[in-house]
Amino acid sequence: MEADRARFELTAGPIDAAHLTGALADSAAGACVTFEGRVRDHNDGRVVSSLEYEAYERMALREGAAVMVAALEQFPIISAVCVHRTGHLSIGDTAVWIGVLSAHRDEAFAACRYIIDEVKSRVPIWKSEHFAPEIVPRPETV
Amino acid sequence: MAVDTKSILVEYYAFFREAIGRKGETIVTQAATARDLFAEIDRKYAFQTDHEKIRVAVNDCIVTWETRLADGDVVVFLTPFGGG
Repeated sequence: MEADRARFELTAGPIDAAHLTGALADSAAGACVTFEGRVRDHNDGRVVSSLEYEAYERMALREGAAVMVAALEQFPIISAVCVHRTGHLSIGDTAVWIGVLSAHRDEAFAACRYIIDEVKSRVPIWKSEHFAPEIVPRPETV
Repeated sequence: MAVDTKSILVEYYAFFREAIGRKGETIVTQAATARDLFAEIDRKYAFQTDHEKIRVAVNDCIVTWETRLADGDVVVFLTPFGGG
């Protein structure tokens, strides 16, 4: 069933990349490509302290599932999983995780790239960054 | 001719939720299309955003601004997505 081979999830809790990678198993798979998007400490020249992801959940789940099914149809892969965070994230936290299994590496890399690009453009999730206050140098004292 | 009044649930996310300060509201309106409804809400809240970049979803599907609204529809206005 396609839903078992191509899964999209939202989670408000931490993403355990090691666990997700370990759960990807198929004896026909010669390639396992994973992508992990993490919260970085800067954007547009400003220092980021943390951020929030907000999802329009009903549509996000449906669009996300459609992206995964499209990946299965367009690439000769065995299975694919994508998990996206919601809520408050700190620097270094995993925001999105994608794993793709296929017989050979080329299609796994291509499908993984396709999934992250499509998720970013099609799935209604918004990011709100919290910026660190600018540090103003103290005036010199005599 | 009877006035076509309908009750629409508008859910707010991201920019709109922050601008309005709530997650949604039920609006009783005579707006015929999604465009009419947005204009009505924009008059009420005077959103400071680039309207060209906003899209609209009715009942969880992205639709054109000319889509006609029906009583009980759920409408969401969408700023550019930022996931990933």
